[in-house]
Amino acid sequence: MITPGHAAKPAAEAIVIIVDDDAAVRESLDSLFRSVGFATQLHASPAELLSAPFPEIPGCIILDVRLPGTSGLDLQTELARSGIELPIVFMTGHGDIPMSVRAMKAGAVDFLSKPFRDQDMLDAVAAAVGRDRQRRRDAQAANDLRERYETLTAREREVMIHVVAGLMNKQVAGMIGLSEITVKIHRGNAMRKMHARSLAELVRQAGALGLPRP
Amino acid sequence: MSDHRPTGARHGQTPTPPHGVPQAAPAAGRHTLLAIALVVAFAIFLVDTLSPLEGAVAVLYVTVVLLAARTSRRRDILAAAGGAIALTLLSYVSMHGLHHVGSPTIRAIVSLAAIGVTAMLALQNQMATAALSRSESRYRRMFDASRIGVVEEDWSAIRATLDAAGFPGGIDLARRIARDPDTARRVRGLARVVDVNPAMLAMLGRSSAVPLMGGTGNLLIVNDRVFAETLEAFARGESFYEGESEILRSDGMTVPILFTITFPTRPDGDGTVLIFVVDITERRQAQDALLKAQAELAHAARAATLGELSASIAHEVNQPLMAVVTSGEAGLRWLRRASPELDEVDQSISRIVAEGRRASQIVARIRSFVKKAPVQKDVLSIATIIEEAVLLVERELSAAQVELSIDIQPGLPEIRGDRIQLQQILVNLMVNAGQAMATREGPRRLHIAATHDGSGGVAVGVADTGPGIASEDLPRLFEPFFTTRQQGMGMGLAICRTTAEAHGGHLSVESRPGEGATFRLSLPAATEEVAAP
Repeated sequence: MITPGHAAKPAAEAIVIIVDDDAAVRESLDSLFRSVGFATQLHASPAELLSAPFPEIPGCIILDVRLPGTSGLDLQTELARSGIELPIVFMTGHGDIPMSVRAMKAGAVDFLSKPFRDQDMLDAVAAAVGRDRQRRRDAQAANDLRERYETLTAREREVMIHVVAGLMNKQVAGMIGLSEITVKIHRGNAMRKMHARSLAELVRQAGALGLPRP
Repeated sequence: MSDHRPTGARHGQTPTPPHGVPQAAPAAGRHTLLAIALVVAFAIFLVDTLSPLEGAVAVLYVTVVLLAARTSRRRDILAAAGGAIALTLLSYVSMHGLHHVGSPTIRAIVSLAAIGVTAMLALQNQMATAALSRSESRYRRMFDASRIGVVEEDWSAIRATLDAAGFPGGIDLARRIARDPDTARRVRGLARVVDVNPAMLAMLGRSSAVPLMGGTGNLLIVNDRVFAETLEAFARGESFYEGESEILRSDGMTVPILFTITFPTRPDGDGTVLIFVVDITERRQAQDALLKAQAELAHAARAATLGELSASIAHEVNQPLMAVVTSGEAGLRWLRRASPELDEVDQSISRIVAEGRRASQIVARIRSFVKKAPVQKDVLSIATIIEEAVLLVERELSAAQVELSIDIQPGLPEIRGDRIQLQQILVNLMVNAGQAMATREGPRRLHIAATHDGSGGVAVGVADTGPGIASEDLPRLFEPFFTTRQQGMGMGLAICRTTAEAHGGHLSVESRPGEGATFRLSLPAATEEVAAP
């Protein structure tokens, strides 16, 4: 909301998606999160959530466990199945231990009973968003790695696989029928393209990519 | 002929003779009569024997027999007849001897015949009178000894008024009189109290019937409607009418009573009416105690239902509370910024106020449901009752993923009853339906329909898509302590049916296994009550 005379607010770095069938609850949470600088998205039901576009920036979902129609836990399952990995913070109007255990086991970040202290909710959201940020970073890194790997030629890949298996250049040359010098050159190129600063790093990258053993 | 004598609360006195019946004359009167009869007999004898008259003088002996008959004693009649016959024969024999002499003989025979016939008639009359007297004293014994209060009234003036309007005009007149309290009072005053039995006097707390003779104004407090119906029954020529009323005791207290009023059959000119009165104070007290116990049981059941709904009630109350707390915290954060966002603070505070009110409304609704209030008889709209009941259970239903639909026909009549108790019936039915549907997979739909019930009242149907009710369970469903659930107490439906019947309505169920169940609550429309006097 932009008030006259004030500069436009900077774009938020994270977003909180709020799902609750009670309008007052939605609006009060919306106000709380915006007051600390989050962007928000409000939905009255899981169905609404599923039909909305997912955010590009890191975020999390705040969800009431007892919603009419699809329950909060069902939504959790549904999202997991669709490959959407936004972390979830559950809230509930009345404490229900079995339900909270199920929710935590299914990977929820936290489970809060209404009415909760605002700091507790903000801490949970911070943890969730942090988790999401980390996940995104990891995903991005994995993506980078794959892209780099794509730039390797077939020979370079072959050499890389043998090298990370622990074989010496001479052994590799013997195994794939190339001269030692050629192997050295391919190895150097592979390391350069993969941005690996040491053999150890290359080994780690190979592991992350799930490359097969020779 | 004795006059109408009021009877008092007499203990240990000999009963006075019945009214209007010739009684055995007191001893002095009897002796006078017999003396006169004797003198007359003697005079006739002298005339018969000594005078030269040719007529059947002996026929005059019938006067002697008739005089003797006035004592109403068999013995006297027989003595008089016997004496008259003897004197006739004596006279005949002394005048004409024993031989057959022609017309004097005939005259003697005629006289004897006359005396004999008169004697027979007198005896018959005396027997009839004695039978009547016995019957009257039997009636008298019953009247006096009965523990049921009896009032005998003369309604001939009322009959005359009705007849003056012409029958069946009399019936309309009765209705019209009923609607006009002043005329009703005047007509009621036309009745005259003829007799009151000891039991009735005891009920009235009086020792003497004397002040009661005359009008009926303050004898039976009969409210206008009851009097109207009594008058109509009277005008229609019915033989009796029963009703409930109250009587006013001499100490000013009222006693609830049940009365039966018997009317004389139409051709009978005797206009007296008998009213039998039974004190139903104890019965009323028992009824009141029963109603009170039922109300307590219904209250306990409401509290138990509240227990069943407690999870969703907690949830429902926590929503606005959470909105209040979070809005407050958000407002503070907006306020504590380097440049406070006052619009946001404004919104937060407004939300706090609104949600605080909402929370107290929810609490008020729940409290009113579980309140132990005396039964009210208000005029209500079934649509409002349904809405309020739904408000109490909708969160529970939506948590169980039950789809609720409501269909209320327009133009339904209003009903009379207790708002909370009627809500209780619907809440119970909806909770039962929700629980039934929770036991199995498949669509969960609850449909509530309010329609005309075909006899002027209102019918509410609660239909679910649960597993239905087994046919062997159907007849026992409304019995107390019958339940098909593990934790069920089995009282809900029994109480619902009792409540429905206490409102003049009915609760029934239709179900086929596998096709869900439909409960049908029917309630009569609120009718106008005729104001009590």
